[in-house]
This record gives sequence, structure tokens and C-alpha cells, in this order.
Amino acid sequence: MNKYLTAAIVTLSLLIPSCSFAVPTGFSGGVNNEYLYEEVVFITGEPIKFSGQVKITRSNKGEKGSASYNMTLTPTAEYKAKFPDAKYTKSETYDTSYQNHSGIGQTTSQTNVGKYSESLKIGGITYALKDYQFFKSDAIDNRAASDFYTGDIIARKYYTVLGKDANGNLKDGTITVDINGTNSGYENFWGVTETQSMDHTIEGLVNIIKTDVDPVTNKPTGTTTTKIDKYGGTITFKTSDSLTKNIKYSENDAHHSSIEGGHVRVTNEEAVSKYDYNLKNEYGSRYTGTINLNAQKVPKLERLIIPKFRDVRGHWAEDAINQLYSLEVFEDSSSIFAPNISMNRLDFTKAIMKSCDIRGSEEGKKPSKKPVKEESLFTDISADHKDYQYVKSAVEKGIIVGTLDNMGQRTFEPDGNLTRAQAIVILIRALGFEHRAPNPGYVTSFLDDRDIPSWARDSIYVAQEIGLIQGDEVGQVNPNISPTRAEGSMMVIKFLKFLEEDLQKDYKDNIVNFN
Amino acid sequence: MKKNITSLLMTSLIWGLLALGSQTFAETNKVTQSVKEAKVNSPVIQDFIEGYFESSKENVISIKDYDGKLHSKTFDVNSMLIINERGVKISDFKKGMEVYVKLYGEKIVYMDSFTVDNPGYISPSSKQRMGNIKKIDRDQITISTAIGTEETYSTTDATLTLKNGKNVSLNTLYVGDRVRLQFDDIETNLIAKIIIEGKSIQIKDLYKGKIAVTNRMSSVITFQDVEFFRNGKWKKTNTIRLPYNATLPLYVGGQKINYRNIEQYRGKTVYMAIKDLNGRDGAEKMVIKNKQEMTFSDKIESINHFTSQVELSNKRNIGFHEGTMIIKSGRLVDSHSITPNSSALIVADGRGDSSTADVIYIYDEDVNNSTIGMDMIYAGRVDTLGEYTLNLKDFFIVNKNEWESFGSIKTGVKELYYDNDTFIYVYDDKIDPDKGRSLDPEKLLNGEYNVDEDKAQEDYHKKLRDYYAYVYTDGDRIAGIYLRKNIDSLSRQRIVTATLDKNPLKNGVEINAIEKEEDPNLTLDLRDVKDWSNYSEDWKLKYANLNVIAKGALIMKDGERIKSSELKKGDKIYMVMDEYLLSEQPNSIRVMRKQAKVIVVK
Repeated sequence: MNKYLTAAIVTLSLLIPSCSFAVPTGFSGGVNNEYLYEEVVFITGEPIKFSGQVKITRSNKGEKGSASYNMTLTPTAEYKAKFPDAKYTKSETYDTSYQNHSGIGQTTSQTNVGKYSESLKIGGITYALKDYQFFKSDAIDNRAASDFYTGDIIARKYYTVLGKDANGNLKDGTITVDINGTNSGYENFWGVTETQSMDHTIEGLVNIIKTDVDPVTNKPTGTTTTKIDKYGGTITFKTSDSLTKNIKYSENDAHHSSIEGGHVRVTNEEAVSKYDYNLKNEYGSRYTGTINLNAQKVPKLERLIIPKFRDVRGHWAEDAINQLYSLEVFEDSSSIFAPNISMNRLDFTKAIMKSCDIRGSEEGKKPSKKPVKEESLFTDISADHKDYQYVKSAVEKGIIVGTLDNMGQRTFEPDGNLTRAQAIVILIRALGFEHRAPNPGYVTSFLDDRDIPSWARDSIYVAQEIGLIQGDEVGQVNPNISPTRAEGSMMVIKFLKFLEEDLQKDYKDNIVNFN
Repeated sequence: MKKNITSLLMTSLIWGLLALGSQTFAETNKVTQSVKEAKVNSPVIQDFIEGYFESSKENVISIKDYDGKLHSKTFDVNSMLIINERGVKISDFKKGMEVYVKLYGEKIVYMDSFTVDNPGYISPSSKQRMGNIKKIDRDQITISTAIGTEETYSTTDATLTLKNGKNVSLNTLYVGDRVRLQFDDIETNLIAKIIIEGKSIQIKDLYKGKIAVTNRMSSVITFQDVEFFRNGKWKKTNTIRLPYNATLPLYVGGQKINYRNIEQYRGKTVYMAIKDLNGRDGAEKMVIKNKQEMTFSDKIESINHFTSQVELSNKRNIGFHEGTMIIKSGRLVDSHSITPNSSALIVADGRGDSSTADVIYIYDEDVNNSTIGMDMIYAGRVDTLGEYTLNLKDFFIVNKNEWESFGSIKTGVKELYYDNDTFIYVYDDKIDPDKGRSLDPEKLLNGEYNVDEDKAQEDYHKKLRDYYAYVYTDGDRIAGIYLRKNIDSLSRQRIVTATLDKNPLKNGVEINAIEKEEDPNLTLDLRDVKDWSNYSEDWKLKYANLNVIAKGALIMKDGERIKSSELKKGDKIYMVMDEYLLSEQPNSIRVMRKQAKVIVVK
């Protein structure tokens, strides 16, 4: 490891959600990988791209969190010729406090700046940060499959400008940078993304004091002050830091082997930034344009167990089934998967819970049996059942409710056939998207809308809107048909793809590239 | 309202009787069976109550009917409790809620309420569709979605169009653009908002190279023997390492292959459409070369979608397939965007007279990006000026990439309109005819830019003459106008499309800052120039960079005039260009000068 590698992340307890660290580095649009940090600095009235090392320290402990960034940067090669001796140093600490609203499954947070120092030296001029006010507040919705959050940011920086420019003129003034913006993000086992949309308004007031010289005696005769009022302009940037895990297949090059190949979980992390600026410097030159930054970390690899089912080879859902087995979403020591029989409710519930609960390594493990005798929530599955904890967790997270029999007893019918409506409701409740449906009193676009049970209508509407489901060749959703184990597997894979890729596109690409 | 809602909920009643709680795992098959049984042994519902929910205590619910009479009835776990068509708990009912109750004897079997004011309402813009523009037919926009479906929606005058965070004209839309369409209602097909992906949609370059190393874990390929297409030729460049987009299909010789097998094509040549993938160059789409390469720059005479072939003007037939990269206006499009008489560069793969296109690069450009746009370029003589009106006579319009005269004596007057937002630039300096200045629209009438018919004699003695103008309009509204004393010879002017190879140059050096005033010394270095041939009526590819003088050009971007120093490297332009011979001192050598007259940034 490079000795200059100073990016250090300290992770303490993760009691509060949204603390995964695929978040932008600071609030200036900078991006970094393991080695290098890049940022574009505009306070001179024109863009200068800097790069260098950054030390990042983040922690979350209980209801408190903090993040600090320390960096020493110099202009990148393309700006080095114009600003050969420029140096930019910055140190910022942000403190966050969380308030847990467990009754509604939400958390709110407030972030303020703690310590700060910032200095930009270009030639003989120093731009020094004198005051920094920063306020950020987020609302975090803690859902079973993912946490979603959104927040607002407002800040102001005051700089002083002092020194002699290249012509020997004294520059003395102040710069105010008004900052406001929003951030959106999500966090689940399969991916973490936070995107900031920020606007900076720079207003500079600088006096350029020129010493007048007697042309004969060459002695100073006085000074002429030129007042440059309100130079600067606006910068809008979108910065996104995103981590996502994908499943990829890797061949086995050897032929004489008990295994053909297997799946690998690949974790990629990328930070991107897009600055759009329209600025005027103190000499009146106007600069407009767009600068993109991109930093990628080296992917992390995790090899997964290799499926050996004997009855899925060549099946249209082979890859989906094998992926889920590799991920241990399906546990089966048998070599028979039986893809064409109906998926039962317990298997599907367990698959979704495992897909979601992989999110925390300590949660992802198979729930251990409780030492204390526990009473089951349902009459038809005992608390001793090996998969009971998944069912219980699904109830606790509001994903399933169960039914009541004629005696008023709560039943789960674990071996009963799943219906598509039930499966879709589970997926949408796991995401917490049910309330995104229209007000009651609407019909979906499916031709068999009247067959949709009222309790499934919202979920089916939302599932179609987010692309989790689509109609069959005649436009029906077939809510009351029981999917096969293969079809159920495809639904789980689509759900995982939504967590892995679709959310990332929505939170990163759709914000950065469309706005 | 209440009755309607109640009838809507009758289906739910059956569920209420039978589904035992309407919960997630209400077993459908079982319910269906139960419904049949219910019809046979249908319980008699004895009564109903309409009124207001009062309270609930243990297993008793109190309802006050519309006459003010209080009813206390029992309920149990089998009682169906509904609010807004959804099963709820008894604790969700609040005192004063209007309820409808069905009784079986003294027992409540069903109770519902409705608390929503706007059934089916969604928040504005909360319904969204994403896709690539497949077709634009005035106010009808067809998109192809990620799952391959085609959906058509309509725009209205109220449709908001956003690009790069700015409100823009719908005319900025191209076929091939990626858009997010947002709607205010779940059933409408009228688009409330169109958000267009910015520059990241554009194909920056066309590359080819041999696969050297593949890294599927990072979705990155290293290519050797790399060449990029520049000025109609393949030009060598360095080894490159590119991420690729594995969501678009990959083809070799017309056969789709899995990215999982890309390693097996090591050493093979790949054609790549390069675009910006989040701040770094990436291969948006790739086609693996199968046999021998042939390149044609020709006009497409016809296209047959049944046989998937195009016929060139040289009568050669070339096939295409789903994996063929078709690029138009810098965007990937599908084969339906190929129209007869399109000028195109085709990179074909095959042997002898049998070939399939790997790349079809369509050159066609127009002032407008689609049928939505009504933008026009005029040149003509200022006839009369009125309050916010300008009549142009002896005028020409750029039509199908050439100046077309509308200058007949009787009908050759076009009434155009200007406003306070119109950009006006005049060359009326008495000493230096090349020195221009911008003019406040309110002062246009005060100037002497046309001969007044009523004072023709007087104006003649004052040596006044009508000014000539290059005008850029949106419909009949003048967006930008350049006025000058003398008209250029339009017959020597040409229409070209090109890409800026560098930022504008000043004395041969790229500028980075925008000049305060229009700088007369800027030149533009252009690459991938296509020149419209009036004779053959197609675009002719130029094989070298073109250097043009920017001085005096009316430059329009997104419907607004910009200075030449605001042009940027990579900008794609549609340009009216003048070519003339000029004697240069001291040796009076006659040199060909090329000067931009009107530039539209695409």
C-alpha cells in the first residue's frame, strides 16, 4: 500500500442507519479513490482543478456521528502552467446528531460544522477562510429492504483576500460564498448512493491598489485604488458517491473439475461530479463551462458458493436460480430444485428476507435459536421451525400479516402456494413504496385489473411504475396465479437488480446527467 | 359520492365475509372457492346503517345514524373493516368518520369509510416514464422503454421542457435523446414535464481497436491498434482502456453474443461508439468485426425493414441487424431513423458483394432538430420597419440546406416580428464597415436602416439605402438579426455541418475565457466537416479540418444569440459559410477566405 495513502475510514458502531460511507467527500464537489482526491476551486473567479491526498475520518457512535476531511492539494497538470505555485489546504469536521423515531421507522439528523480551516495561495495572494456556517438536516426512512433519505444543506463561507498579484499590485478584499443544496441517498446491502445537488454563489469585493511611480525619479508618489465590486458568479454541481454490488459469473478454465464456474460478488465504488459554472474574475474575464470529475476504486471481489442443481441446466431461469443459490438466498443441500412446481409462501418470504437482511452482516446470518422458549405469532408454524425467525422478522417489518382462520387464529400457511399478488405485495412492502400509489379509487392499466385484490392494488400499481413487473403478452398481471419456483426466482432476481442497479441509476445517473 | 364509493366497495364485502382479514396471504384459490360456496349458501344480510362512527369498546362499535340515533353493535375478528378500500384495524376509525355498516343480525360484518378527497390523485409529476426518443411527430412523442415497449405521449403548450437544469424549447429534442417524461395524472398521456439528458447522451467519437485484455469484473476492456474516425478516415491513436456499457446488445457477424464470452474475442477488432460515462470516456455500444471491412460514404436510396437492408445510390445493398450501431445527430438511434436520401458513412463487414453494416453514421442535419421546430434562417433586404415589425423583401430562406429565393416582386415581402428580447447587431460604422455594435430593439425604429417610401427622394439625397439582414427566427419571431449595408453574394455561400476541434482561436491560440465584446479576430478550427452539395443533394464528407473566420457571424444557441468566444470545443454546428477570394497584401496573392455568416449550435 502506498505510504501516501492516507484515506482512512474509521467505522464504529452502526446503530443509526444511513451511515455507510459511500457518500461524497465534503460539500465542494470533490471526488476521490483510494489514492487521489480531486476538486475544482472557483473562489478566484475562474476554475482551477486541484488534486492531492485526503485523509477522511468518519465515525458513528450511537446518536452521534462525525466526519472530518483533511487535504493538501496542488493544481493538476492542465492548470499547473498557469498557477505553478498554487497550494490549497483544507480541514473540515462535521458533527451529526441523530434522533430516532422508531414508532414510524424514521430517523432525522442534524449536521453542523465543527472545526475548519481553509487557505488557498496563488502567487502572492492568499484566500483565507475566516468564518464558516453550515447546517444540514436529513430525514431517513428505514425500510426493510433499504433506507432512503433526503436532506437540505445551507451554508456560507467568508474569505479574506490579501497579497500582491503578478504585477506587484496589492489586492485586499473579501469573498462571500453562499451555498445551498439538497442531498438524496439510499443504503441497503446491495448498494449505497448519495448525491448532492449544490449551488454556490460567489461574491467578491476586492481593491486592487497600484503604487504610482514618478517616471523621472522612479520613486513612489502615491497609490491608485481600483475597486472591483461583486466579481464571481454561480457554480452548480452534482456530486455522487455510489457503491454497488453486482453478481458476475466467472468460468472455470480447467475442464476436468467438479465445478464448471461460479458467481462472484463484485463491489464497485465510483464518485462522479459535474460542475457547471458561470463566473467572472476580478479582471473581468468571463468563464463558463462544465467540468466532470470521476474517481473509481478498485473493485472488491467475493467468490460465492457454487450451485450444483441437476434439474436447472438449460432452464430459462437457470442463471437466476444459480445466482440465488450462490447468494444463499435459497438454501438447499439437495441437487433437485424443481423449478416448475409452485413457489410456496415460506420459501418466497424467506428469500426476500434473506435478500434484504444480507444488508447487515450481523443480521444476515441465519437467526440463531433463542434460548428462551418463544411463542409463535402463527398457529401453523412453530417458533422452533428453522425458518421461523425469517417469518417473524417479515411480520415485524410490516411485510406480511398472515390470515385469520374461522376461529380467529392467526395463520401463515407456510406450505400454501404463493400468488403473484402476494409476491408483489411482499416486494413493495419490503421497499416501503406502497404509499407511492395514487389515492384510493383508481384502476391500474392491467386488463385484469378487476381481479386484483384490493389489498394488492397499491403494490401492483407501484411495482409496474418502478419496472418490477410488467403485463403478460395480453396486458394482464395475473394476480391470482401461483408462480413457479423459477418464476418466483426471477421475481427475487428482479428485486435484487432493483436494489443493485435501478436505485443507483435513479439516484446517480438520473440526477447528475439530467439536471 | 358516498353511494358510489359504497358500490365500488361491494366486491370488498365478499372479501370481508370470506377472506378473514384481507391480509397479504389471503389465499386466492381458497377465496375463489369460497365465493362460489357463498353464492349457494348466501347469508342474508339483514340491515345496514349509514352514519358516523362514535366509538369502539372491546367488541362493541357505536354508530350514530343520520337521524342522530345511536346504534351499538358487536364485531369480531371476522368483521371486515375498511378505510379507503384497504383493510384496517378498529383503532384506525376516528370519531366523526362517515361510515357504512352492514349487519348480520346484531353483528357488524362489514364497515367502511372513505377519507380521501381526491380519488386516484397523484402528486404532480409523480408518474414518470423513461426512455429514448424513437419518433417525434410534432406534438406526438414516441419513446422506447428499457423493456423494449414503445409508448406515445403528447405535448401541450403547458409542457415544461428541462435540459441541464434549464428551461428550454422543445425544439432542442432529438430522436435518440434519453428523456424522463412526467405526468400529473395516472391516466393522462399529456406530458407535464420533459427532462432531457444533457451532453452525456452524445456520441463523442467512433473508435475501432483490437481487444487486448478484458476485465469483466470491472467491465473494462483494453484495446490495442486503436484508431478513431476523424475527417472521413481512420486515424491511429494510443492503446486505450475503456469501460463498456453491458446493457446494450453485443453482436458479431449479425449474431448476438453474451458479454460473458467477450474474452473469447481477444484479438478481434471492435467498433465502438464512445461517449461520456459519468466523466470518463466509455464504449456505449460495440460491434465485433467478423470478416473484412468496407467503408462507403454515400446516399441511402432506400431502406427495406423487412429484409433489413439499405440500398445505396451506387445500387449496392447492405444488410443491418439489431447490433448495428446507427448514429444520427450524435445519438444512437434505431433503424427506423434511417430515411431514404440520407447521407451516411457505412462501415460494412463482409466479403465480396455480401456485407452487413456494423456502423451506419447518418450525416443529415437541419436547422431544426425535429418536426417540432419552426426555426428559420433568412437573408434579405429591410423593406419597412414598424413598431415591433420588420418587413423583409427580396428575401431568401435556408431550405433543405440551400438558400431558396422568395424574392418575387409582388409576393417577396415577409413580415417578421421583433421584441425587446430580440438581439440586434448592426454594422453601421461610417469609417470601419467591419465594426459592429449591438442595438437596443427599442432604438431600431430611430435608425436609418431602410429607405422610407414617402421620403424616398429625401433619403436618396442623404445617400440612405436599405440595409440587408441575416435573420434567425422562431416561426415569425426574430430571435437574432444582423444588419449590414451590403449584401453578400448568397450564391457562393454553402451550408456545412462540423464539430469544433478546439475552442475558438485568437492568433492561433485557443481562448478559454469569454471576451467582453465580440472579438473580430477569432477563427474556428472545425473537424468532421460535411458540405452540402446542391448538385447531388447530399452531404459530402471533407477529409481535412476547416478553418473559418468567425467575424460577423450570427451565432445562435438554444434560440439565443451568443458571442463567438462562447463557442466551445466539441460543439456541433450547422453553418452558413461564405467563400470568397481575397487579395492579401503585400504581394496581392489571392487567397480563399471562408467566413461564417450564420452558425446554429446543435
